[in-house]
Amino acid sequence: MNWGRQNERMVNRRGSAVFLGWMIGSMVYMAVLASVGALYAQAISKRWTSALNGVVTIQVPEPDSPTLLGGKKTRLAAVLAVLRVTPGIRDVDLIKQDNGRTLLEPWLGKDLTADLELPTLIDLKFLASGINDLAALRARLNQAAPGTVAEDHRSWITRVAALTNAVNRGGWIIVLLVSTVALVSVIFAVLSGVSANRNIIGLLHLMGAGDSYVARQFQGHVLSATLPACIFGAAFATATIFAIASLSIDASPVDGSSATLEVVPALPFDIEDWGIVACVPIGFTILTMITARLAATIALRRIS
Amino acid sequence: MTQLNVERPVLVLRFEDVEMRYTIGPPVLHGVHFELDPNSFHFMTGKSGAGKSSLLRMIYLALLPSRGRVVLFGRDTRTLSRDEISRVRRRIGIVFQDFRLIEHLNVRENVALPLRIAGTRESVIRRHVPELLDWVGLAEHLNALPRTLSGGQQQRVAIARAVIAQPTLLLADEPTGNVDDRIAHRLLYLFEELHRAGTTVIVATHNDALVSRFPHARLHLEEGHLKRLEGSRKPNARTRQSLNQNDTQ
Ligand SMILES: Nc1ncnc2c1ncn2[C@@H]1O[C@H](COP(=O)(O)OP(=O)(O)OP(=O)(O)O)[C@@H](O)[C@H]1O
Ligand SMILES: [Mg+2]
Repeated sequence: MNWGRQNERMVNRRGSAVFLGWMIGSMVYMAVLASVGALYAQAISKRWTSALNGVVTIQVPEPDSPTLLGGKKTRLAAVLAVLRVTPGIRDVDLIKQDNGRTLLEPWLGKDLTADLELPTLIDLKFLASGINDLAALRARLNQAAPGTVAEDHRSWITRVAALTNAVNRGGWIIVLLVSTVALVSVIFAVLSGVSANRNIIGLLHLMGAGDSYVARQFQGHVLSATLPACIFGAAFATATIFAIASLSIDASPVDGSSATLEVVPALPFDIEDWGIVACVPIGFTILTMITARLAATIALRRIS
Repeated sequence: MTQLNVERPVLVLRFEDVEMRYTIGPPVLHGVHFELDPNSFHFMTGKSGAGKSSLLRMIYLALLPSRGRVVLFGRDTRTLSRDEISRVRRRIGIVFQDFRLIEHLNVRENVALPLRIAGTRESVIRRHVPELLDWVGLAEHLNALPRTLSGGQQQRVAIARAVIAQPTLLLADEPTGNVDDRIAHRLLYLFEELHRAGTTVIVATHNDALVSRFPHARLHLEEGHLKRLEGSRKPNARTRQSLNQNDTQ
C-alpha cells in the first residue's frame, strides 16, 4: 500500500496541502472567470468595431422629386450618382419606402401612410480603408439634393469600444494579480514546508539525496495539492459561465429575426477563445510547478 | 560469488593526523591516523563518550576535521562540492545510533528510501525491500509505522535501510544496542554477507561479547586517540561457518 504515492509522502504534508489546495482552487476559479470576461469584452468590442463599416445612414427627403438643376433626374438618382463616384464605399443599401411604410402603418393607419412621402434611407457600407472625409461627402450630397442628411454613429460606438477594451484589459490584469497571489502562496507553502521538514531533509541529505531530488519531493507535494485544485477550480468556473450564459440567452429576443446588430452577444466564443481560457488553469499548474521547484531549490541551499 | 579485486585497490578511507573539536569544548579526537583497505571489516570500540559517533560523522561528511585530512574514496573531504558530497554519500550506508527513521513513513517506505534516492526501478524496490525485511525478521511489520515498533525492531529497520542499496562503505553505530544476542548475531551475519559481496564495514559497538565472537580487526578509541588491534580469529573460516548455520543460531 502507498507505494504509488511515495513522492508526495516523503516530506510530511499535513494541513499546508489542504490550505494550498483551497487557495489555488479559488484563484483558478477567479482567473478563469476573469479571462472569460476579458474575452467576452473583446468579442463585443470586435463586433462593434466591425459594425463601424455600416453605420453611416443617408436620409434623402422627397426622393422622387426632380432635382433643382432641372432635367428628369430624381433627387434619389442624384444622390446615388454621387455615391457611385465616391471612393471607399463597398456597398450601398437602399431601404425601400415600402419597408418604411409597413413600419409606420400600425401608428398612422393605411390611408395616411399611403399619402405620406417618406424619405428614402440608404445604408452605406465602407471598404476596410473607410471613407476619408464625411464632411466633404455631406457637402456634395447636399449640392446634389439639398436636405439630404448623412448620419454618423461612429463616435459613440468608438466610446463603447473603448469601454469594452478597458474591461478586456482589466480582466487580464485580474488574471495576472490572481496568479501572482497564487504563486506567492506556493512560495510560502514551500518555504514553510522546508523549515517544518528540516530534520527529514537533513536525513535525506545524509543518505545522499541531492537538492534537486529533495526539491522534486516538494514539487510533487505542491502538484498533489494544485492539480486537483486547478481541475476543480476550472470546472466550477466553467459551470458558472454556462449558468450565466443560459440566463443571457433567455433574455434575448425569442424570434431572433430582428437584430442585424446583436447588442450583447451570448458567449460569442470560438474554439480559439476556449483555447485561451483553457490555458489559464493549465498555465496555473505549470507555473506553480516551476515556482515550487525554484522556491524549494533556493530554500534547500540554505540547509547544509 | 566472491569477486575479489586483485588489481591495486584504491583506499576507501584514510585519516591523516586528524583533530576534531565541536564548537565548544576540548578536542574530541586528536592525532587520529589510520586507513582502511577496500573490503575490510572493522569493529570500532571505546568507552561511551570516547568519540566513536564523532569519528563516524566525519566519515559520512556531517563533520569536517578541525586539523588534518580525511580522504574518502581518494578525495579530500574538504574539497568536495555539494553535489560530490551527495554522490559520495550515496555509496555509504549509515546505521545511526538513534535510528533516525522517518516517523510518518511505514517500515517498507523507510527502507526503500536509499533505493528511491538512487533512482532504482519501482519493480526492483518492490521485490528487494520485503525480502530484506523478511531477513531481519520484520516480515510481519512491513506496513507498521516506526513508533509502533519496539526499540530492537526499529533498529533492524534502520539496519535494513542502511544495507538495502548495497553500499561500498557501511557505517553502523551501535547497531545491536537494543537487540538480544540471537538477533545481534544474525545482524552481524548480515553485515558479513555484505562484506563478502565487497562492502567495507565499520561497526561501532560496546558489545564485547560480539567483538570477541567475530574475528575482525578493531579500531579502539581511548582518550581521543585511535589504536588498531588485530582480530582474534581467521575471518573467512568463521564467516562461512556462521552463514551456513545462521538460521539455527
Ligand atoms: N554535537 C555535539 N556538540 C558538542 N559536543 C559533542 C557533540 N556530540 C558529541 N559531543 C561530545 O563529543 C564526545 C564524543 O561523543 P560521541 O558521541 O562521539 O561518543 P561515543 O563514543 O559515540 O559515545 P557512545 O558510545 O555513548 O555513543 C563526548 O564527550 C560528547 O560530549
Ligand atoms: Mg555514539
